[in-house]
Amino acid sequence: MAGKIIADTIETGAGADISTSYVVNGSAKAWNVHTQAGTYVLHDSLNMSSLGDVGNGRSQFNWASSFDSVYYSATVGVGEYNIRYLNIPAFGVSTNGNKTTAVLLFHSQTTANGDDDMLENNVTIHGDLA
Amino acid sequence: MNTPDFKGTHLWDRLCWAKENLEPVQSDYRVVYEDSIDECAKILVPDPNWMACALQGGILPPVWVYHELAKDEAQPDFKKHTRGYLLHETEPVGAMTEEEAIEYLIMKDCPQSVWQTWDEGNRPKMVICKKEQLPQTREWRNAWRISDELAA
Repeated sequence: MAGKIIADTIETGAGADISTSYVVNGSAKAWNVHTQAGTYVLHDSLNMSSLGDVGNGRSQFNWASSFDSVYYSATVGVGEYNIRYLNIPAFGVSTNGNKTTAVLLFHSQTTANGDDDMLENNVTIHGDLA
Repeated sequence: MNTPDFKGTHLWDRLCWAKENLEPVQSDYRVVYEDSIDECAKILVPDPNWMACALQGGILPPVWVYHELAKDEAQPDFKKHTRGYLLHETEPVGAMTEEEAIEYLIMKDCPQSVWQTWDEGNRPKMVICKKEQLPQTREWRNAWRISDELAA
């Protein structure tokens, strides 16, 4: 059965009221799971228009709904279980002109290979939308 | 399924509706482009949820909205968008074919310097192909270029 809850505030068990906008604004505004190895594949996502294969170990995320400023936050992880403990993956997001409100450049490396394509990358973005 | 009347609805809310209600569409099309002579060819992979929105219609804003926001962001004193309402309040575009959606995506996600002059010069700067036409291994990925055999 479809339903709708309309509420401006949520009351916590401790009796404090918090605005529902506080909860909505704290939810992830974009995410994706993608493969770099082979032909790039975007498995699933929210708020993306396309994935760019821009080089070895380098992905570009193009957002469908832009962020309001470049100060949004990316949390990234690797889903590749065969990364060995001495082959520590590192991820970075670019800020040198390649991060805009509409685009984020993502870079993955391993200690063994330098720039390296990953079988699975997991990316979550928090921030305020335009 | 009909698209709700999304006039004035925040684009992110429209995308969330699409995520809940539309089947993702994995396109076989890829856009290969070169935007710098010092860098390898880049490849655009359409997002399956975005493609579903494009085919459905009534969800995505017209592409010029993104160009207006990019102009704002290019200003030296840019801090935050003040015209985000263009994304949400401009009437959404209608249903596209897959090919029209790829054209829209090129104008949204490829640099304008590429798609506005893609066929000028000695060789094309951009090619639309099927994913099967791309190299199937990542060997020498950072040296990939658009083939000279495609020269007009």
